[in-house]
Amino acid sequence: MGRAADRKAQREKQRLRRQPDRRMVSVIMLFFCSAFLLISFKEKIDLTGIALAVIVPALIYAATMWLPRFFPADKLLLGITNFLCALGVLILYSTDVDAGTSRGFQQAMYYGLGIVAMLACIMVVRYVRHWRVMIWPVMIGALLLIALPLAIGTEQNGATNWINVGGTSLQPSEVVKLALVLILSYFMSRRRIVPWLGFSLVCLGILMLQKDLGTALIYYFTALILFYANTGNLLLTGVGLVGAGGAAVLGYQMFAHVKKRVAIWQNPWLYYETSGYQIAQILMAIASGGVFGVGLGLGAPRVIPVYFTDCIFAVICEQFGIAFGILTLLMYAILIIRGVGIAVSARRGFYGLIAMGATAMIGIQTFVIIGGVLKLIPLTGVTMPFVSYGGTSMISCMGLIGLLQGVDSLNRDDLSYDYEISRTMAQQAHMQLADEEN
Amino acid sequence: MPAEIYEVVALAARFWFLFLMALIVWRSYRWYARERKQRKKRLRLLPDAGYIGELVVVSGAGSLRDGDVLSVPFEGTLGSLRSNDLCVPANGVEKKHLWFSYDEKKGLVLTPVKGSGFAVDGIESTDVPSGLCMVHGSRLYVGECQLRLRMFAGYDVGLDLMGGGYALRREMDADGEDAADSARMAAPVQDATPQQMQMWQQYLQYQQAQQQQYMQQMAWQQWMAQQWAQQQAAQNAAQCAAQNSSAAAFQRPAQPVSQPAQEEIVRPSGDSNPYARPSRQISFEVDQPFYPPEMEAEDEDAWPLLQWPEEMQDAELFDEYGEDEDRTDASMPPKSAYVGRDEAARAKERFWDKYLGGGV
Repeated sequence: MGRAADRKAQREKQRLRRQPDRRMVSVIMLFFCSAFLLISFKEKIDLTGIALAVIVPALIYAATMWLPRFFPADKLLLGITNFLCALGVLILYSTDVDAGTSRGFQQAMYYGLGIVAMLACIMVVRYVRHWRVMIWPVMIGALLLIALPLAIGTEQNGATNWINVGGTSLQPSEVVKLALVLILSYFMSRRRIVPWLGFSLVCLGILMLQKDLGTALIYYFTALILFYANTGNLLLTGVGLVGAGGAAVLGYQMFAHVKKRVAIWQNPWLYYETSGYQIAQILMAIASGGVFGVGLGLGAPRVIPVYFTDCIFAVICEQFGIAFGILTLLMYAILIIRGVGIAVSARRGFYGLIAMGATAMIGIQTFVIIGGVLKLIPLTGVTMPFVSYGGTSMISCMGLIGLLQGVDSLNRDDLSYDYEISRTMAQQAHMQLADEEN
Repeated sequence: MPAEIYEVVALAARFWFLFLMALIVWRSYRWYARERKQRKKRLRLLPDAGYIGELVVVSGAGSLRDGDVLSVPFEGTLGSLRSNDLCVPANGVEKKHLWFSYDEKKGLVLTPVKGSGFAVDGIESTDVPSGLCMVHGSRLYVGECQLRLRMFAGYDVGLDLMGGGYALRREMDADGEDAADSARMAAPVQDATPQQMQMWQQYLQYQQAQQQQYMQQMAWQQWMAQQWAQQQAAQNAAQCAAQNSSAAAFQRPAQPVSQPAQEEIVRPSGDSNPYARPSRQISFEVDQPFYPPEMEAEDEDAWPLLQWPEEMQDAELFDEYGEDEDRTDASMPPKSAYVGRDEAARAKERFWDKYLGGGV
């Protein structure tokens, strides 16, 4: 009897071990534990690195395995997101050792804040029901926030999209991304095209005034995708695409810095000493990394301007290799496919559009920055989702994941509701039959 | 660590990291593919998932035959084009004729597109600019087509709003009345539409007839039981008398005292009426697996979801309720007479974490 119980317990333990979430998280934890330990022994034993080798895997385990016990969340989405966030912490920490900075540790803290933002967004999607009342204050707040840099903003890398609050700098357009998804989804689902169009145009106008072209591009294409997802009108969506092309040509003719960027994109080596230096260094870093990379903590990532935000994908390719970079892109692809699946499964138009908007925003942002780094499109200053250094970027990206998680949890609720009804009806039929037999 | 040694270790470690990364991506993909497969299997078992009901074609729907059904999702459009959620290619139906959306309190709310007209249960859409509501059994007249709505279990707001639905499932009080139920029934319904009011009236009639039927049935059963007891007593007495060979006089048992039928009502045990109060409380078996944790091929046979009994599969469950004059099945009671929203919601809370990957 005892042996049978032991065997049963053993089988149960093996079954648990074979569960996909445990199998994936255990590999992720092993990856980061070994990577942080390796870097911490680079020159002298670095206690911060050893601490991160414990803290980051623990945080990944807690965020992927424990959080869903208390908050409704999709573990696969959480696992991928946590992996990408931790990859950002690792890359930043690997460059900290030589540079003497502490961006890796700061990013780990932003990662924690991002998790809080994600949980808040899950709760918002699940429990806020009176959007008709809520949406207008959200809209006004978003417009004020995005316009704030025009009044008190500071210029960084050519764009006036930062504000300083209490010694820390914030990028309001990142936070407004969350509001944009909610507002556009709400008005689209209510078929109210005027406020939808008005809000989109005002946001785009403000971003153009701030010369934040990368964010404007993300906003525009997110709005267009939401429009297509809701109406299915291919003609008007095509008109929107043509309009975007027209605006690009117009911008090229009107703004000198747009012309310059296109020229750099076409041939960066002509401007190697000046404005083409960044993209040239990016290309050299990727090439020097080769297929397998130069090794973690090696190479010269710091010669790339803003290597820790916009160009972090080049650092990944240099240290881990192009093969690793391709696998990273596959992780983004799985995340986006999952997001689209959640959007398609939603039973309410509003929630479907929220999921589609959040997915589109992450997907477009990833394409814009990685396309820029790989010289597929002109490089614009946006962050790589979850990986790049920055608190507001991390919070906004994790918030988008929170919106996605909230919709997913509602989908699961609906499905379990249907299941329970079906099951109860079958039960009742059995009881009825038994009663008749008696 | 010396720089040379670190370099060698880091160069060797890149393959380790690449291997782990490949493993992570592979496992993520496998996990994604597995869940997708599971979801497909679940949806195959529940073909009505995601729909609130069906619109049954009664007449005049062009290429659609009478009796065809159109599954109704939560939200969407109805029109003659195939791109609509509900495609009705009938004369007089515009390319995009109306929007519909399910409201938990009102039912299926229909709003016209660009002033296109339609009617629900004789009420024209032009008379109610805010939109018309459809409940279980409502008829929609759009163009030359007539459709009838049949709502699925858990979505029949008509009864729910009027105090029926899940209220039917409560235990009766000692005096045979459900106080909360009565209070709710008595309360004026502010948001009721004409269709809902009509349904409420029908429901009240149903309930009264049902109560009367119970009382008659229970009184008859009580009388039968008393008769049987008297016969038994008489037989026993006769046997005793024969065995003892005594000359004791046979005494008839006392006449049963008739009691008010109201006090004799007990819960029926074998009633097949779906509007009747159930003979027992349904309890959800939370310890029993409901969703299979793993849905591999060999697990499919062990699917614990209860199937309909074979005897019931072809049987008409509701033959005695309602004349189905137009053969739409929409005249029978909604399926949610079996289960109420509160019950399903409670079950949902219990089952979410356990069987849909939420943890616990």
